[in-house]
Amino acid sequence: MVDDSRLAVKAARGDGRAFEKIVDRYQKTIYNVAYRMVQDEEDAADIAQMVFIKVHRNLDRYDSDRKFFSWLYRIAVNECLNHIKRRRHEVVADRDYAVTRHSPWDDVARGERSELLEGALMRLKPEYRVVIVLKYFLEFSYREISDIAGIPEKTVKSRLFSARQEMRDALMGLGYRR
Amino acid sequence: MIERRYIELINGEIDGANTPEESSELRRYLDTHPEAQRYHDELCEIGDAFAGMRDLDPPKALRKTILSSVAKRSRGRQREGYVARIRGWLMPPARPRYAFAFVTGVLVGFCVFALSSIVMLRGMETRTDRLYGTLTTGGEAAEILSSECIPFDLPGLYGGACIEHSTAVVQANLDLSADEEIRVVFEYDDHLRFEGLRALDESEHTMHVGGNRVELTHSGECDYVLVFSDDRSSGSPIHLSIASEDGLIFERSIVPGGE
Repeated sequence: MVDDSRLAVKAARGDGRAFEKIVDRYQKTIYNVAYRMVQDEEDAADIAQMVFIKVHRNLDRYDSDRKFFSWLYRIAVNECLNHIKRRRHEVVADRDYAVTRHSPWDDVARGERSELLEGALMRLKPEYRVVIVLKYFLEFSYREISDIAGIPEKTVKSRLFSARQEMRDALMGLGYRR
Repeated sequence: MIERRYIELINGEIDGANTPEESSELRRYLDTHPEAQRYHDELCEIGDAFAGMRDLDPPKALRKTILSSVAKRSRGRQREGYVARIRGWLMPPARPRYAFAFVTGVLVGFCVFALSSIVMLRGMETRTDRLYGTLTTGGEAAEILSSECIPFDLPGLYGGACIEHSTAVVQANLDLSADEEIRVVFEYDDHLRFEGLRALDESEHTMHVGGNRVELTHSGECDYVLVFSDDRSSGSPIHLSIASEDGLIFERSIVPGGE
């Protein structure tokens, strides 16, 4: 499999097929990252589209010594944060996610459980949401998250601790009881 | 009440960031502190729950939308570039009028020089066999009569080949990006004669020519141009095959200019 950097260099030289390959390789992940950040399928598709347009526009600025995915996810994360800022999408957190019955976690149906998690995720501040998404959905290390989010590793660690604590509290608040 | 240090160790453990000593210390603490153990389990469950969430499939139209937006932008930028350039030529800004006059003077001078060179060189014989490192099809640029491009998206090989047929010449442009060593073989009939190969980038390659066959061994990334002279106007067939260590990965017969 041709590595990402090589594809990016080719795409920067105007190779349309190389760019298509980048889109094929990453569109699902970027779409899902965006969805986890904004919890709206249409907005996630808009963000994914904008991310790839920005990637294409800035390919000549991509430094091939750097990991391509870090560069790509950085664009994606910034696009999500800008989108949230623009749309003030945090109102979604006020949606009625609460599950009134206090059922054990294992008894909560899978779909309901996802809804609880999504609700708890949306209650987090966007910068906490970013680290949670990068850690849990993309399984990045502190260093990779630091590179993508553009914050020191120490900050990644502390944001992750706080975000996790807030997730736990939010889940409790939404009806999750052990 | 869980001590701050152990809250940090619990989080570090979940993230896989603890040293073996820290992990042992935490295990001992959890064994004797049920509240900390519960806190640890709750945080772990969040991770497990996330792991159980399925990824969504992006909308089917997303790929198409992305690619068409990018294509539209590229075309738009190209057009803007042309328009800006033409406008720049027709309406130079007031201050750089002298620069405009200077550039125009240089261009006129260049055209006069080029025309006089053409007049002077007309009639001189072009000895293409003495041009080292240059592939030429003769004194004039040949018109491309047909072109067939084949993209490669094969195991271990990415790129493409374009076979261009012009009057008395077949040119094969190869764009190869191979993870391992590959052999690219061109086989052709007596109407074609191999004239030369040029690697456009630095690459590791070897070439073997003989018996209506050119074999190029390549690894890494490189663009190549191969030129064949053709004594048939309709274009002679070329058989292109590509093999890796595991065997044949691509094979196609191409008749330049053919149906």
